[in-house]
Amino acid sequence: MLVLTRKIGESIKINEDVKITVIDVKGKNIRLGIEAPRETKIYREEVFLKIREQNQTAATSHYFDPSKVSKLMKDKIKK
Amino acid sequence: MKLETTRFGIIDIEEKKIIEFSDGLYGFEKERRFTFLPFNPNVESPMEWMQSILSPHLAFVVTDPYLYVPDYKLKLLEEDKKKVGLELDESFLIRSIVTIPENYAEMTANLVAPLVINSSKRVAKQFVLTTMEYDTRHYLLPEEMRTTAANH
Repeated sequence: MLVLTRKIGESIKINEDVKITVIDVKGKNIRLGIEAPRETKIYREEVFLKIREQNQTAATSHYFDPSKVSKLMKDKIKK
Repeated sequence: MKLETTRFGIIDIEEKKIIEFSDGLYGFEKERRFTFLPFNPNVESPMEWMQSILSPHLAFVVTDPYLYVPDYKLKLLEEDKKKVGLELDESFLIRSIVTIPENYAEMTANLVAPLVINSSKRVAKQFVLTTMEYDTRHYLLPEEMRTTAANH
């Protein structure tokens, strides 16, 4: 991993079109500003972990009666 | 073709009804082929099962998120569309994976990671939205329905 030291207000650039600026540092929190083309996808890394966990939970919680669930959903959609 | 499933026994499915997720799903990267089955054979339902072709025991409950969140915002960029083989303006299906806990009234849908399905080419992908607006556990029922159903 490339490790760089930056001060508040300083930036790094990735390729021609992505710029990440250190906006502020407060204790353990660092605020970053990111300028990138519209189509660049920027995520907090934890979101992928959450999705994996949710997929796994969804795949294993099956202790229900489908007919009861269907009935409840129909009641909801009618409203 | 015959398909072995834990939940439905051995069933006959049409191969043209198999949907291919070339990256699998998050946490299930090897699960690339699924088929949709009725949630409840005798009753009309907004839910469907998404049964794995590879693993008999693996099936997800999925639903159309727009039934519950009519203003659900999902913007696909051109390169996202290309990943599921969509031509310009070609329509696609959106499904969300549903988690149904023991108190089924508290079921939730994952609105952060929708399944985008190109039904004509039969390819699909689980996308991750960059917006912070949605949750991986979005309650499908309003609070009053969650509590009353629990008391039945």
